[in-house]
Amino acid sequence: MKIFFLAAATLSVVVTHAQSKEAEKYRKESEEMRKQIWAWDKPQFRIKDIPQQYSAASKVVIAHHTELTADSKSKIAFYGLGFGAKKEQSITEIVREIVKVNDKNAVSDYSEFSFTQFAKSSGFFASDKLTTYVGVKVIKPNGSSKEINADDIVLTKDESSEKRAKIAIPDLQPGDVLDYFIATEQKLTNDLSTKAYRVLLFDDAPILSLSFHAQLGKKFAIEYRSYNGAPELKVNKNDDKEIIVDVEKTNIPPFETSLWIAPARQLPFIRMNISLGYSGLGSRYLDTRKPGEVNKSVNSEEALGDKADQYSTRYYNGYWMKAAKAQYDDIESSAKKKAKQVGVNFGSLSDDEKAAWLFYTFRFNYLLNFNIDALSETINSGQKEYDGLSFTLFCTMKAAGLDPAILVSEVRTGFRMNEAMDAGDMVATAYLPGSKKFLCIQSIYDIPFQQPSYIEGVKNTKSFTFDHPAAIMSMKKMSGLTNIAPGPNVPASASDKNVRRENLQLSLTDDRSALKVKRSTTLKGNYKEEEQKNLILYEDYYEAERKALGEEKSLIEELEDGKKSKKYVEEVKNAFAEARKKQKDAFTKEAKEWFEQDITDLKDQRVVNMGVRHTAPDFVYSSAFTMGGLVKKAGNNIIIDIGKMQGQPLSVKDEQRKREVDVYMSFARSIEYLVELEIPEGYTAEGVDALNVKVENETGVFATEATSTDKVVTIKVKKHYSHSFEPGSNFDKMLAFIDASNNWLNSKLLLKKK
Amino acid sequence: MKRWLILITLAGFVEMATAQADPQDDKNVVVSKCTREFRFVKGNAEHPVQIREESRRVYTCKSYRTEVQVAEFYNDNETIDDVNIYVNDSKKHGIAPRYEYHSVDGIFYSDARVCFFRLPLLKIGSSSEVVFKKTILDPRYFTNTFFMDDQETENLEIRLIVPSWVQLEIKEYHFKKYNIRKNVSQSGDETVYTYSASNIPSFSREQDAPGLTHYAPHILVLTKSAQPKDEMHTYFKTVKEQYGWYKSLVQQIGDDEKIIKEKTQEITTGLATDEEKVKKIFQWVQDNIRYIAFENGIAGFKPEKSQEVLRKKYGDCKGMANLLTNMLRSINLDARRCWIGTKHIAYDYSTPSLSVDNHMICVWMNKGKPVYLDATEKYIGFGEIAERIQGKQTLIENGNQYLLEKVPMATPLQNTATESRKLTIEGTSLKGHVVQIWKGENKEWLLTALNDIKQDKQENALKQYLSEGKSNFEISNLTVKNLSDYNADLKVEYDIVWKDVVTVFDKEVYLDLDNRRHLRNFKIDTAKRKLPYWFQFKDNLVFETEIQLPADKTVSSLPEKLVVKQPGYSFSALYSNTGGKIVYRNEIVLDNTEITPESFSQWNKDIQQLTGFYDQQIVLTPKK
Repeated sequence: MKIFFLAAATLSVVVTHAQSKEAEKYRKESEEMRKQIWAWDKPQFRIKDIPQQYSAASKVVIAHHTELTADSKSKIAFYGLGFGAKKEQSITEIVREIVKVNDKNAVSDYSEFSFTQFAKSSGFFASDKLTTYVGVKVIKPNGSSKEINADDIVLTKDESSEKRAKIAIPDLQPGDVLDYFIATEQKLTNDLSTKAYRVLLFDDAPILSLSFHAQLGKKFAIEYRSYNGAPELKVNKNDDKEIIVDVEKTNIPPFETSLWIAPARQLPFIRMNISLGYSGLGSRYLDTRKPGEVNKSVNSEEALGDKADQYSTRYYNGYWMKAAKAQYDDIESSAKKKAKQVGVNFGSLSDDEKAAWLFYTFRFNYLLNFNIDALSETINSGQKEYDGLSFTLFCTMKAAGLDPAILVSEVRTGFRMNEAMDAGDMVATAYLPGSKKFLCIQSIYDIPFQQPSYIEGVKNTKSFTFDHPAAIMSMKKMSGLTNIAPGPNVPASASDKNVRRENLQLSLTDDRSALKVKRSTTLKGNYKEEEQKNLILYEDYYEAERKALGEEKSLIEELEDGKKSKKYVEEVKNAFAEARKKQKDAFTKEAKEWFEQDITDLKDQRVVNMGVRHTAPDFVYSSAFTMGGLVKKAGNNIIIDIGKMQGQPLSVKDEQRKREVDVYMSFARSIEYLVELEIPEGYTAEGVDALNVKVENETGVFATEATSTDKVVTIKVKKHYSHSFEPGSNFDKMLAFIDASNNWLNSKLLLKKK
Repeated sequence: MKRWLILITLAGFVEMATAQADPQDDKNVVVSKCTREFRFVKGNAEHPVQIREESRRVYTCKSYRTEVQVAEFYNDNETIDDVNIYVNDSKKHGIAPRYEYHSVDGIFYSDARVCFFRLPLLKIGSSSEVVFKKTILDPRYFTNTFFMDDQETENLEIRLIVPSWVQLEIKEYHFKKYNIRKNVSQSGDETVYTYSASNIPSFSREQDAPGLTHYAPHILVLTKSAQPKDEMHTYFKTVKEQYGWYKSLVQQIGDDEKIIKEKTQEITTGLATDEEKVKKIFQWVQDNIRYIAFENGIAGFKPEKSQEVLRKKYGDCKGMANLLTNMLRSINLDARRCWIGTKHIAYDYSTPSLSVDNHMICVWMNKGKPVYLDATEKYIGFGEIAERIQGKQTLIENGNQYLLEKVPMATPLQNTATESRKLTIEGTSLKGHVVQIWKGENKEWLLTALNDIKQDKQENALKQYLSEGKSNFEISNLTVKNLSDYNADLKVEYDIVWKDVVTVFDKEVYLDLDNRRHLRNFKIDTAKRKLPYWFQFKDNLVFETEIQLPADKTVSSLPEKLVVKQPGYSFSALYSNTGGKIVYRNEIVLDNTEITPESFSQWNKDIQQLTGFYDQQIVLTPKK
């Protein structure tokens, strides 16, 4: 017993000692780092005068400099059973910024910050380490400067593999200048992967000087590209053949608009791919660059090649291998069986129809599949997101003898196709080249043949198909299976394809203080998914699909009939009942959020059509409720705030109205209302004509048509955003119909006592 | 560690809040059996008296298989010694509890930690069990034990095993509703207190509700003294000992009077009266010391040195109160530190315990009359008192003695917000001038919101707020007064063109003058809400509009006046038509911030009436 205690005590001393040694080492390194960085001889960090134009800014970045250094050395290290060369990289990034904080908001932004002081991850061969050093100085208006000391740092995670830290910056007040740096040192072993690095040349605060300097050991290689008007890299080599890179830009005004922008296409930045060059054995397959190479990326051929290589490997492992293909064959068999169950001869279907059957079968078998062991997860399967499942859908169709391909394209708000630097800049979508129809699954609510909104209208696409030789004997053959051909242009959906249509039948409540509303909502295209997630029950969806795919029994009946499964029935019923109980709240919440009025007594809520099949693609739901807030008594008469039926339409704030940059929206779209207001007995409707408005131009329309009979006032409202993209010069035209819609909010109707 | 007051941005103006509740109707998992045993034991030299806790909770699945999140908190004064998890009686489940720092919103750093994991319930009717063994290292930190859990508890037993060498008192709270049984028995040298109960509901997660101690069944353990060996350890026998302990911590602070005095003199140069000086110093601390909370070990109780708070320009409530106290003292003013529990804590110092208070402020004894100064209220004026401490008992330093005083209650007038408009009708618009004034906590709320916004965006944000984001409410010539003088009312003036608010049908003109509609439809959902509703502060909202009538128009119809007067609140709204003008006045008074469940139905009726009033328009017709 005594020995044990002794051993434990010794161990604890060693651990404590080791910890303090580590802390001491960190403290010393940190001190050294600070000494070096504060001694930088960079004139931009000494600027005192802020240009008059920025005197009201919340903060002004006086100078922002990044220093990236990476060296490489080979060293002999022991691993496994023998000695081998272990490549260790050390990459240090120092970001120093000197910023004038002018108000409480800026002080609050900079008053606290968190960082990972130390992190260690174990790789296959060795551990990689990341260490962060921080230095902060507060410079007062009188020029006096104080540096924070280590006592102000607290650890919020203190484990041997990771230490996270926080600092509250002392004595920081409006009017002060904050000079700080964050230096991160990374030690990587045997890491030949490409490190993506970006130099951003924009900010929401003005920047007087922004610079970047990199010094990389001669074994590194860089590929880079400047985007959206960013300056070019200045590249040099020093006497040691190290790569020297510089970027500088001064007087960068703040970029503030956040409405409808696509940063990858509109804001200036430089991307670099930095890697440890390697030209030895197998370098082709490792996709490494030659040491010392610095290339300006001029086209996207290489990125496309990488994408093709990735797909070759996927194709080889995921389809060419017989065992992998078998699962797709199973989907086909299952689809045939299900088609037969509903009297459809799969073999006689057109390719498009077959694709749809395969799509539904895959969705049913894999994404909707009922799993008792993951009951909550199954019920919430509507919340799951998928990446489009291009390869899976491609293979499913290919296995069934269709002739599919994979479209490789840009994302319409992401990097342009000809500016791609990385395979990840491009997206892949399965399609049928014959009919140019797309298949994509981002959620269980997707239907066949609807292209995802993020590729709508893209051109300059590529189409991947794959060789399928009987034998593959070499790596070269395996990595070259992909055939690249020009792909089709993707059509853009029109505003009448992405629709929210509200049919509202209104009548006054008995006490004439509110409106009784019978509502039917139809959502089309890209407008559907969010509400489908909120309103459709898994149980309803799954049962409907069971029927559509010819399953005779309902899920519960099937469970009841199973020897093993019948014991689950009660649980499943309970879980479904619980979900159904919450559905009414979801309907009420959706109505409140859309109309932004008092919604009470919601009843008769119903999903009329789920919109999960291409043959019945619209999502239709209905309910009835009382809506308060729109009925005003005016003496003997009644005023209806009829304009407020459209909820709170999008309005453009004052500071967003002046715009030069182009407008990137998600998709062309429309919102339409058909309102029928019952005129109560003993009243007449006045002011109907004044409700008619039309503002239409090439960017969109806001139009209303109001008519009345003795009994009913009918109002049709439509607002269309005609395109997903508008040039900045068209923004005023957009404002015209957006403003018209906002003005119509104040429209009123008088019900006059006869 | 002690949970001190978390200073958060005020979460919403009364009208913006919704009196909704989060229904806790999910009874799929219950705690079918919970036993918690607390045993006083002899410790070591550093911690001579400790409390060992063993809690055993059996979770049962009632409806369908699922998982529950289990979390147990601990800190520098509490350790988790062992965790045992059984899924269907088996220890083979692969669950590894995680231990992490627990971050709490608004607290920069604390010693709070959490042990957590997800516990599966394999099927309907199955059970999983969790046993935690913990040690509380000092009886001072063994305070209240709640009988509620995250799930409904079917059978609960809480046992305290107290040896004869420990003297304590147990206070019981909110037992009535829950049929909690108590048994006291003797087992050798030990007294065993056993509380048992059935069907205790889960914690309610309702927003804008009182703190747990106001309604949840619990016991508060007051350990008076203990003599585990020869030496007698005295804890909080009475408030005297609690004060003594606080005082001993204060004495260890090590404030540097010289530094503080220099700064104070610099701030107060040229000021003649004591009150001017106090005002200036108070606002200086509000403006210059950021609230950043540290709750780390003893730092959760002992204020930071005032010179350190001054150097860093940040501190928690104790640090700020201590600095303020020392600054006032440095110029020979009688200032004291005060310990206080905010409104969310139901106790006062008649139950001496660390759970009585969670906040520290400063009091200036102005010729013997206390003036309370809470610099964590960043934009409150001198002499104004925040709702959260009004009426609360406070423990005030008084040398070796102490004073127990009650912070005075403010009336709603402290927080009056007034909006006065003088308008004329022009076509379908109303045009004119508006003056808005905010006092007290309404002023503080608006200043907090404005100062969170970048200075070059503030004017736009203020316009956006005043126009409620409506593009037809056009504001020009906006002036703001006293944005940085919290001792004066915040005042804005502006001109408006309020478009399309006048509706003309044939020859009749319809007008809706009140777009503020304070408390319109602010109903409480009685089906869901079980706890009282607490407004942020007492309120007095006045909205006045005077409209010059066009010479050719006369008033055909005005809404009937509305007067609602209830204990705790009143609404009045009146239109009058004199001298060619319509004068409208609406006043909402919340004398009491609490609406109790018993008054929900009356409140809703009154709100319905108020809403009905708002939903009326004025009708003007041509003069004959």
